[in-house]
Amino acid sequence: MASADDGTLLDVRDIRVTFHVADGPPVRAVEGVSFTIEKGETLAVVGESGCGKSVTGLTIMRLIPSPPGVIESGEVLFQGRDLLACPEREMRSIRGGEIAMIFQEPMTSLNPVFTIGFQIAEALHAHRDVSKAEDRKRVVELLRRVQIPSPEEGFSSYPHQLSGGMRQRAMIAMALACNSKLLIADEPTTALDVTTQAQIFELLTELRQEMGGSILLITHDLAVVAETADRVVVMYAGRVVEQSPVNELFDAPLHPYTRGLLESIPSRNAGKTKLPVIPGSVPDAAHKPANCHFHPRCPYARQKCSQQDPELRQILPGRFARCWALGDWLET
Amino acid sequence: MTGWRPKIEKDSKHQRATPTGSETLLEVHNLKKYFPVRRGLLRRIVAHIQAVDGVDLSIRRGGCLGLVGESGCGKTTTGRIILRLIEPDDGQIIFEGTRIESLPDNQMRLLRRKMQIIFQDPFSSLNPRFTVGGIISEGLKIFEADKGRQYINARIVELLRTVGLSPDAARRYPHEFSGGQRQRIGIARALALNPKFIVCDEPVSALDASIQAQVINLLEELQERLGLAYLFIAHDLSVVRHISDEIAVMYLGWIVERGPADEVCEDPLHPYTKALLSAVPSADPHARRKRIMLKGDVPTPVNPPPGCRFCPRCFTSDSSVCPVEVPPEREVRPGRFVRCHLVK
Repeated sequence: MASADDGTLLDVRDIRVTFHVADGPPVRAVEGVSFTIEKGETLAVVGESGCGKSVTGLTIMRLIPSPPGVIESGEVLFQGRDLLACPEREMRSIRGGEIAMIFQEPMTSLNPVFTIGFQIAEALHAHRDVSKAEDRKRVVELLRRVQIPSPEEGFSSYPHQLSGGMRQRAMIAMALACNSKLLIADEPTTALDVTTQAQIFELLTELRQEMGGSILLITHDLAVVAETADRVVVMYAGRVVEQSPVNELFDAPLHPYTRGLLESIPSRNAGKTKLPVIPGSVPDAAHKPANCHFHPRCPYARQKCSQQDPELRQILPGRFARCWALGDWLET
Repeated sequence: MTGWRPKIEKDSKHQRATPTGSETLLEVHNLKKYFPVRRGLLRRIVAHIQAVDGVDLSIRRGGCLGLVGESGCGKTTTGRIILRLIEPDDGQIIFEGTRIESLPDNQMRLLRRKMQIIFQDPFSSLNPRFTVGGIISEGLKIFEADKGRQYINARIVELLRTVGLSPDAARRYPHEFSGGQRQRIGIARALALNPKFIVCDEPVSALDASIQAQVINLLEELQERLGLAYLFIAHDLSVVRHISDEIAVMYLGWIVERGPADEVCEDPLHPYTKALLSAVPSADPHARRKRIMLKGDVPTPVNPPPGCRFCPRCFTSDSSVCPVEVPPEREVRPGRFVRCHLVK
């Protein structure tokens, strides 16, 4: 986690995304999210459904459907270049080239009427100048690298002929095809069984070490974060509420939301006791509580929390949180 | 009285020590379900999916058996067969001492009051055209209509309070509720007829992390207060371990290991249980460890491997026995049952 300035691969600055829906108030899905990803690092963005984590990933790739989505402000600096400002043609060469993305359900991201081999070759052609003759050899080599058994067979099979784990491997092979520097993995194993999940994460870790790329892992599963990430960004209702290195986050969470989430994990509660819970439920994205969005569910909430908006600020070296209670604690 | 399969009863010194006053509520012996695979113009049966193949289980009154396994292992089918929502092809289901696997429909209907189910997806398991009150009271209107409208209305209010919803929820529709609240409605519906046994089929898998704990606590509270027994089906071992007192691990239609929850999790005996436990991420970054990586994927239950079904992916198998002989279920320690040739 070298934080030297030239080690930064991606610098997301204060992005705001709003969805305008016909009958109802605008939905502020992402409200000023900032973070950086260093070279060779795995950064996890974790949060519950509707917290804006997937929208953040899609914003980096400029894949927000518009309308209804509007990227209102912010910068996404990838190796110093602002992706939100670059022309669409340039963006097309970056997507799948320098930045690759894999999704939760590999079946819906693969085209059912083409073979796996054809689809990976397509990615190669889009970004690399390769002859058709070389195709097969290179694709088979990629399939071998993602450990698809009998890659020759895999080349000519259709997505439905593969299992969920194998399809996700094929997606990873596609991402590898162009030696991407950044892989955005949006819930890559949520649809898979645990033993397959373990295989996929081992593969991703191996490939990352081999190629020195970075991974932005978007997930709802804190246990997966604990196992794979270097640094963690916790999101709640469209905002970053905490940002910490992984060990520190799990040892001593700062934000009351992170603390509540960690305490409610059954495996961290030995013995058959009542699980500590966060009361209430996640607010509807169109009707978020004013100012600190977490205050109605927060055990440490005070008057200030509903009247003034807390900033994300450094609480301890390298650790940031957005919370009045923590800020006050810091001052005393 | 332990209620495990009869053939081990001769080995009485190894019988499970069960707390006094507890007794078996439900027993299942050698349960089988083969779904036919039909192909061609004449829809001829070309193969069978061996979804459940010789399952033995037992659940005591007020107890909770956790059934874990990966997708396609037959855990949901097992739960549905026990309620006879799917008819078994073979085997016995004994509920409160009565064989129910071939009970005629009119008698089965009466028994259904005592056995209920909670589903995984709180969005598709509630009828969007019914009010919440209507959903909860459907069973009451069938079985307790003679007690009158007022009784039913009072019962709806009571049930909503029990699951932590406000009584005015009764007049609203399912789409007005969040996932966690809908799951509470599903639980209220299951409780309406005072059941003794509930099959919980992945009840928290579709819920957000901060809501999961709320629903798990509610299920535990109800179990204690109402003396319910659960068959808790899930793929998440940490949740299952928390709520269950016994765990059964399924793989390709077989129960490969079962025993007390803590023992199975602390000291797994079957190689599949070991691999499954080691694959579960641990929510503790200091505990990152070398995992047991299983080779390949779960084979199809249409043509399960001969001999031990886990053998092709096993990391300890013995090529002279495992691919050839079907391992029987053995009690290798008191209360610990394993289907593996090699566990001593």
